[in-house]
Amino acid sequence: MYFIEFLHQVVATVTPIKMGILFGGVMLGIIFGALPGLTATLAVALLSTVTFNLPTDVAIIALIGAYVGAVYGGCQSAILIGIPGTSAGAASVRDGHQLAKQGRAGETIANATLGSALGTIFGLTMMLLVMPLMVALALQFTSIEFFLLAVFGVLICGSLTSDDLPAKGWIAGILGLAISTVGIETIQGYSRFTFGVPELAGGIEFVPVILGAFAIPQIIRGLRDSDGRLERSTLLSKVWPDFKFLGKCKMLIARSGLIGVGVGAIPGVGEDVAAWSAYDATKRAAKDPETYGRGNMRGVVAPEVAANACIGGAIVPVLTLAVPGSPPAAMLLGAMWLHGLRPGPMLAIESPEVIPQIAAFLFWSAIAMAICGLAMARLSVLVLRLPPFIVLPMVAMISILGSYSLGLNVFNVYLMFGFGLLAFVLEEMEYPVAPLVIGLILGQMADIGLRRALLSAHGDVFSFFERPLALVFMALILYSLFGRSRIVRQAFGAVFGPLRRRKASEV
Amino acid sequence: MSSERPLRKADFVTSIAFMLLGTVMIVAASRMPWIVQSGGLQQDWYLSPGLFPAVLGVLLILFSANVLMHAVRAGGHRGLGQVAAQGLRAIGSNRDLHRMAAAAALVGLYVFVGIGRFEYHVASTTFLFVTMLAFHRAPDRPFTVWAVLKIALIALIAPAVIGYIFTEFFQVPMP
Repeated sequence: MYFIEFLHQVVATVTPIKMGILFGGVMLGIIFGALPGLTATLAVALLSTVTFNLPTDVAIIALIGAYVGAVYGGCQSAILIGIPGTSAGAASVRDGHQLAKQGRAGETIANATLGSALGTIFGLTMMLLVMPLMVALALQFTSIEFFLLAVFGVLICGSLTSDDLPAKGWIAGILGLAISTVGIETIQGYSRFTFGVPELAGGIEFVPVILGAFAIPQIIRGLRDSDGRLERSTLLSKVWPDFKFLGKCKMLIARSGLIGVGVGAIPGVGEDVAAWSAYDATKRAAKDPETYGRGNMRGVVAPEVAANACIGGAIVPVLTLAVPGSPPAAMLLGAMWLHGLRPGPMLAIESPEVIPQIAAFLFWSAIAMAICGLAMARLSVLVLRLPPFIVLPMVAMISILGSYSLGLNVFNVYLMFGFGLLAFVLEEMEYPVAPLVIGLILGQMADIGLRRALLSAHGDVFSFFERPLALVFMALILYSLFGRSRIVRQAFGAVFGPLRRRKASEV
Repeated sequence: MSSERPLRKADFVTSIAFMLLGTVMIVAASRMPWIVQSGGLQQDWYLSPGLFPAVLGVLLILFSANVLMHAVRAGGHRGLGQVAAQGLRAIGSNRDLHRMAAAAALVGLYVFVGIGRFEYHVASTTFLFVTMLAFHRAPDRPFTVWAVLKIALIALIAPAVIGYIFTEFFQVPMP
């Protein structure tokens, strides 16, 4: 359905300004991704503030370029110094750095670059295939489904991003939802939790909050640890991919791509989960699993394909349901709102050009990332030699200016700093920040959805159980709440255990 | 990151704080209008602006109770006063804490004192110079005149270049 329009947009995107902005965005993204501590979300957040005054399509192309570049960039530092630039690059450290130590850094970076580009293209192809189905499904949604989807998004994100107790992720999500209630609410015009501060009447701007939540903790932590010795990056030989090897990895690329797209579509779960899942799946499927972690090229290509395929998957719920699939996608959603776009079920009807346009931007970002990634590998060696005590204060300055530039309001800077400190304290206590951000983004959808659903049902809560889609979401919510509970696992074991044993004995 | 036992002690304290926050949210939500006469029509409880915050307050208490339960089971409630006293005594020698506090304080000073009160270039150059100088010390970085000059040069050039890019390319005036 979207493929013809996509091809049209691929051609229409080739203008000097758009290409210049795209390459600039991709290069900035790669630098942000390569520098340990700076994340893809931060790159997209910073760029969304400074591109605020640019035309919508130019701003979006810059953001998508930075998003793709930053998700990829993490692998460069992972391979060269053994420290991932982003969490998405962490899975590439194990084999990537071993290969670099064996003198194959150039070849590894080149293969990872091509793998990331193929992953991005795989993700956008799946996005175009799935999008018509998702749009059709999203049009069936009523207020109750939107409310339940928002709750499910926050809970599943909390469950999957919390390294400690899942309840900590849920608490972070509830805090995000609570922050979204600040300001004058839209149904009755009642002022909630503003404490007489006029700047809070319009609600809390989420861009400074996201910028603070992702920048301030990294700056404080980076400066705290900046007195250690600097890791010296490996020198590069020839930076050129092994096409013969990549040709043999067709199955691996397809499997990792599917994992990436699938993980990306889950609200709030990012590229890191996709990369680790693909690494694990590749190792399990391998004939030589013992070579993984000792310098197996497949252990670098698989996570890179999955991390970048995740982008396409994460953008699907953004465009069809206004639910972000990952933290950088949350920022992209925020930037679209800033530019007057209204992602959601009606986007395909109101602005039919947006979906194929974004797919075309992703396509060119993949191409630009492949070119810049190969060309910038030597520059990365130099960038990675910059000490954190030089880089991080500059990032702090740019983040503060970025927050200010949004409406030229100093209050936004205060918000950014305050929420940054809150995020730092929460992270130190092992409360994840991603659910807080997702909660903040989905808060209004949940609030309005709940009240509208109750209004249309005249307050009858039981009528929600009559809608099949609502029942599906309720089941998903119950699963995210109790899926990891011992009682549920024991109950599942009691039901399916004998069945599994019988099957095994038959085999 | 905290290790298991101190983490459970921290969980004990934070979960109680979040339960209190949940209670505050429910109390604040209960004070919002629940049944209102508007334009001759009675608006029912389900349109109240307090409904969503009240639901969130209840959920916050429930989830925090779960964390509290884990903390108590792991003995996180035992010896809290002793740990707090030890922590307070160690403040003077905790180098990581000093570095974190210094980083937060320098960024805070730039945010609350520098931006908007002083000229952008002056505030930014001062912030960069002081922060870079403060965190320069490391085993493989000797503190030389050349190092200070290099930092001063970066602190002078970076705000000028970034300010130029913001104003000229992104049409954003500096604070």
